[in-house]
Amino acid sequence: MSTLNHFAAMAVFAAAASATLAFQSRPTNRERLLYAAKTFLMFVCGAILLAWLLYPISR
Amino acid sequence: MAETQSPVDSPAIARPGSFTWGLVTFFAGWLVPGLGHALLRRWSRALVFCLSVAVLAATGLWLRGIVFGSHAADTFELLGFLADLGAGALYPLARSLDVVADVSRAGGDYGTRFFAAAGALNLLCAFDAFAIATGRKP
Repeated sequence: MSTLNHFAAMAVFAAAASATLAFQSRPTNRERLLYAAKTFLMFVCGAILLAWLLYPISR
Repeated sequence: MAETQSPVDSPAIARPGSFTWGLVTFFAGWLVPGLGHALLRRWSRALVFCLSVAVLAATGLWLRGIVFGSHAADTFELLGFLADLGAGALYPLARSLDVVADVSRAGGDYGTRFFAAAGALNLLCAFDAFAIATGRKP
């Protein structure tokens, strides 16, 4: 059975969570879009940064 | 002639703004993701919440994560069960599918977290519906 790679799984999670949080916390569509984009990037960039920080102790 | 009491005047019937109406939307939203907001005619929120929770839960099952049962062996399993239960009707559906969990791979472990996150997000959405229904949130 095919499965998602780690990055794709993280992107799916980030997209679903950021869309939900944006619609819960912002009243207008424009604000929601900006908030969702910002949250999505923070999820993805934060995970990549954390991965590189943890890389030296993973070996 | 006795005056008939309209539904708006009756304290026993859930009406917009009442605590009872809030509970109705909370449980509807918990049971079926997005239904609480649909009852409040917040269509875009209902659609996004339904899709987000369903996608997370489906991805969790696809990655063959664990859907915890009620017989928890330790605290972590109990917390996992409570989080999974937050997914409402998706929880018994996932249990009935009998997906064989495989946490020997990282993907399976991710799947466990995905389903738990779906439950936690669904609870947040249900609380959001409650807040809107009771007038605590615009």
